[in-house]
Amino acid sequence: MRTDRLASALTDLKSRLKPGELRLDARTLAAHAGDRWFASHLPDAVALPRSTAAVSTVLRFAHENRIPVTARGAGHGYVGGCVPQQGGIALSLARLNRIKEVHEGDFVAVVQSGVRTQALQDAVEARHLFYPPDPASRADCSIGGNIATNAGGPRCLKYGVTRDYVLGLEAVLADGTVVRPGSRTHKNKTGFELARLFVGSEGLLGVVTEATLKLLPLPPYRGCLAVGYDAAPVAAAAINAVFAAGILPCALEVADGFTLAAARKRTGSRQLEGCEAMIIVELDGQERSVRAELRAVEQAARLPGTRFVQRALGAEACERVWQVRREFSYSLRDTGLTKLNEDIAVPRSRLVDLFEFAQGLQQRHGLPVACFGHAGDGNIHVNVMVDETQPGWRERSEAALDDLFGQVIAWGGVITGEHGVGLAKKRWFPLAVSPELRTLHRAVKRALDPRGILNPGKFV
Amino acid sequence: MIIVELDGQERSVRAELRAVEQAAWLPGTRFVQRALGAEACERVWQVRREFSYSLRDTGLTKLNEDIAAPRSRLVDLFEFAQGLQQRHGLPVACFGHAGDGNIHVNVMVDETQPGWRERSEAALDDLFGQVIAWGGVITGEHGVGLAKKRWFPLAVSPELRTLHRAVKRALDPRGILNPGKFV
Ligand SMILES: Cc1cc2nc3c(=O)[nH]c(=O)nc-3n(C[C@H](O)[C@H](O)[C@H](O)COP(=O)(O)OP(=O)(O)OC[C@H]3O[C@@H](n4cnc5c(N)ncnc54)[C@H](O)[C@@H]3O)c2cc1C
Repeated sequence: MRTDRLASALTDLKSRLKPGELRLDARTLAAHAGDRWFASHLPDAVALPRSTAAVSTVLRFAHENRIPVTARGAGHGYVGGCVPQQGGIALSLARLNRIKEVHEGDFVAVVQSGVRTQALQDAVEARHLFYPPDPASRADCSIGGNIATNAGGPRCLKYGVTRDYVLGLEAVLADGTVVRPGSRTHKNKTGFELARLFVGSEGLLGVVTEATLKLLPLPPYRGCLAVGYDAAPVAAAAINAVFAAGILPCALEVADGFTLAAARKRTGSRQLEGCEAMIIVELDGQERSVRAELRAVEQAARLPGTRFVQRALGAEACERVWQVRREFSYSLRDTGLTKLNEDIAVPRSRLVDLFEFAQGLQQRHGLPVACFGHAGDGNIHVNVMVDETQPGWRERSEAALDDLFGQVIAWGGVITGEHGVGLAKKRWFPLAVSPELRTLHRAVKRALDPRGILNPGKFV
Repeated sequence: MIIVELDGQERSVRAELRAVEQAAWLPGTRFVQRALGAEACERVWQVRREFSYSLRDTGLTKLNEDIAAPRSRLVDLFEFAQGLQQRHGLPVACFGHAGDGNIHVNVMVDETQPGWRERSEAALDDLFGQVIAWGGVITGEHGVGLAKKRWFPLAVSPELRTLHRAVKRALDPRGILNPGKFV
């Protein structure tokens, strides 16, 4: 659309909304241009609706006038998903931030999509209920963003990802129609799984305004075990031994030697010395069960090559163990390098292969590579560390990623386990997804967004 | 009657089963049967499996409706089912997955009686209407198929049915896949 026509259309839209629901000032535009990845692009307007009706007004108008609309939750994505790549309207759900209901009898929460994940978790845990999906960004990210990226986290090994908690949604379609797929029942087979069609759709199929989420009883107790090893294959063997004991931990994390060396430097931790791998195993449930099973985990995980074992019983002690895990990201940042965090997922048995391949990458491309992440489900964060002051860094890092993604796909793995495609992985989408499947993506996209106004410039 | 099953490590299961028993042993309890180990559990489940056969033994035809209600509506549902029985003169038997609200409501029909079809349809109209009013759904796990096709428009809004058709058209533009069903 020509700029003058767009400007007058936006003025028109503004008059149909409540004061403050459409902003055109430079500061607001700049604040809605990017997320936690590198890309950014200015929108022409920012919509800050306070109601589903206002979201519907924005979309109906944008549909009629063919104006791009890119949904935005909290802007804490890792792949540039909410970047309004073709301008138009950045539609922020930040003001739809009400927890409408937490029902102890039905085990559901009804929340608007702008609610912070942590705010929901605090509200339900106060009532001894549990919403398990725990992205590390949970203090900042929104439920709508979690749904649109099908976010995961450490606990998803036992409890499943965001998808598994979405019972029902309220969503606004490209033409402004409001639909409520799903329900508040824990089972539902009435028609297609349309609520879950929006899960992981990265704002390309509709805008989520409300979610009815499944809750569980809150496990009353937690226990944690951190074990350091002198070689990565020992860690892999320990992971297998835990599963072989018939135990499904709620989390099972792993870190490689590079990550641990950086963490040791940052924290001064002596126990990490000489460790080439470390695992963290967390159990939850009834106190007696957790205590007994943690002993069984320790027995299974204490293999020749073990450098240290750290036990933690109770929530507080566990948090101290996780503190080390959280330091990983900061420690890598301390290196002064830029961290390209690739959240690939490989078939579970490929863990050692992946660590070895990552070392090879390092040698071939001269870029340090640090691996850590969710060992239990094969979703390992491969961090390619780039020195942006060196000439040719971009080509070298792209070549390293080509190598990495090619190998991961050859193993039957995927290029993103939880962050999404966004802009960051758009280049590799055709490598990861067959032509037939891309055609199917386009057919579904066309059915829901015939004019292509929703988050244009992304992977479909 | 309720059946609660736990699985996991043996010591944990034994201890937690005691905790379950403590929680479930309320005034009004008539019996408690414990089962430890796979074999003993199977014997308990055998009773559960007999439910279906027992209902068939009545000689009546069982219309098994796998509705799901919000979890807190369990007692309401049982009471409503009794009311159905009185209003339509058809016995109703409820059993199923209490934990997730997916209760099988079995409307028992005597096909030798004249007007049985109309009466059972009227009972199902009543049942599905109430379940939907509670925020429940007409099928929790069996699907719509032909059995529930008539109630699909009641259960799913016009906007959502349009969305069903749009997705269907995108994947099956000539409508050759399982035609005559709910989309
Ligand atoms: C430090 C850090 C740690 C992280 N750790 C994890 C982790 O452990 N696990 C994990 O899975 N992710 C993680 N992430 C990634 C990110 O937090 C998740 O992708 C999160 O779900 C994004 O939520 P958001 O509200 O910030 O979404 P945004 O960044 O605003 O948007 C993300 C995508 O969702 C779409 N979208 C947002 N809201 C809606 C809506 N209401 N309707 C339709 N589409 C919408 C956007 O268009 C965009 O495509 C991390 C990110 C950071 C910065």
